[in-house]
Amino acid sequence: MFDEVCNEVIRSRDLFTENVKDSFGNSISEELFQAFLNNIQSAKLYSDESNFKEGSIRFKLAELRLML
Amino acid sequence: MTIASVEYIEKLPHTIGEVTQAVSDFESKVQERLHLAEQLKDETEAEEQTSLGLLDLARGEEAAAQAALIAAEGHLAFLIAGAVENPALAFEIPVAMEAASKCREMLDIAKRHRELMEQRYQLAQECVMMATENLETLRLQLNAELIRTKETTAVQISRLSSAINELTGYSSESEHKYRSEYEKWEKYQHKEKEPIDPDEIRTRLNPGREVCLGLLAALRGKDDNFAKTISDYFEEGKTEEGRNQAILKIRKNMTGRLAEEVVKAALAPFGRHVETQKGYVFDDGTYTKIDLVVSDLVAPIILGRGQGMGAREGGSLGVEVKSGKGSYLMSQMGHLVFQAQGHTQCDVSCTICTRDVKDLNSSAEELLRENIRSAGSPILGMLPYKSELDDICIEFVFGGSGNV
Repeated sequence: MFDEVCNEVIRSRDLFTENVKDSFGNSISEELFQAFLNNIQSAKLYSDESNFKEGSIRFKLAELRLML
Repeated sequence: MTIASVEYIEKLPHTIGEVTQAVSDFESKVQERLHLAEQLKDETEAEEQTSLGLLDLARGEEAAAQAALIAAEGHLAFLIAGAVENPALAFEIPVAMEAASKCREMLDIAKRHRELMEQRYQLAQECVMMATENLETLRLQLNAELIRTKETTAVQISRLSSAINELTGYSSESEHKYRSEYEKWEKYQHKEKEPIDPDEIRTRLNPGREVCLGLLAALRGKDDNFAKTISDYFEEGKTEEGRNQAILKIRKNMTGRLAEEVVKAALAPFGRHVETQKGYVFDDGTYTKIDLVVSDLVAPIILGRGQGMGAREGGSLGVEVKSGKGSYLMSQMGHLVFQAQGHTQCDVSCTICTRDVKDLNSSAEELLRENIRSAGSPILGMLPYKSELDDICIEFVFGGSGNV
């Protein structure tokens, strides 16, 4: 789900660093793009953890629905 | 102040747009993800209600079974007590016992079902708790990342915006500086009473990058077609592939124009009249245009050693301009010889070309020089190299590096 945004940011970063090749470019690459990518990665991780929990909940729901 | 080497200033606002879009997309994905967790929570709540309904039903069934058993057992007790005085009732006792046993069995079943429904309801409640907790945790985590992203990008976008403003300012400042350098160079005056010698001509033909950029800027200001061509190259160069195409066109068309304009502006101070593209009709009726004729020379001119290499004050100088690599100049030999014949109306003439002529092997260079000298218009390889002029034109169209 977050992979598309990740790719979008990577694409934009690559175009930017191709255009600005110096310490200013490196700094923006690190403080804007890398920070953004880290945030997306964290969000992805939280989402994956939640997927796991949601899987357990769905399993429990399926189990209780068999109780008739 | 940081040093920024930016290839395309105009791409920086695109970066801001892309990042802003990515933040917005990230926010949408966060909402989408939270919506999934919300849906599951809603589903567990609906299941909790269903389970509670089933539990209520099971409780009702158990209560009914309990009542049926009490009634059956009451009837049996009545029959047993009554049979002492009325033996006929004893015959009904087995049936009543059977009915009571059946009711006990039904009650057991109802009780087990109620217990199962209690378990189901308990599980459903656990699911609601888990889904609620999951949603709240996820909401906190994702919103925290989103807030962090928004804060970071706001700060960095503001930094980028400042850089764009400063670069744009620098760019206009640079153009102003180049134009002023060009204007100074253009207003050159030859020292009175002194002949114009090859060193002075060479110096004039090599004005440097800033003057050339200023010359191009001035040309853009007064020639709408040229301005449109520059704008077209710039637009075409917005994509990677388009840029390569535009650079090819610049090398092919614009560099030649720059060379001509440099020669025209460099030699103009040596005469009182300057004409470009002056038509000349040969005896056989064929027609050509001379790139530049500088007439009423302000001083005697010496193009080099040998006969036919000079003209007196008041005389005229005819010039053909060619820019290109050695192989291209070589391929133009026939054309240059033909053009040189058109210069015969001038007191002295020359073919000014880029320094690339010196890169030809010595026999090829000698052949080219000799043929054109014989035609009456010796070669002066005094302009900068074609590649240097190419780079200036490319920098003019697409911009170069700047200080931020």
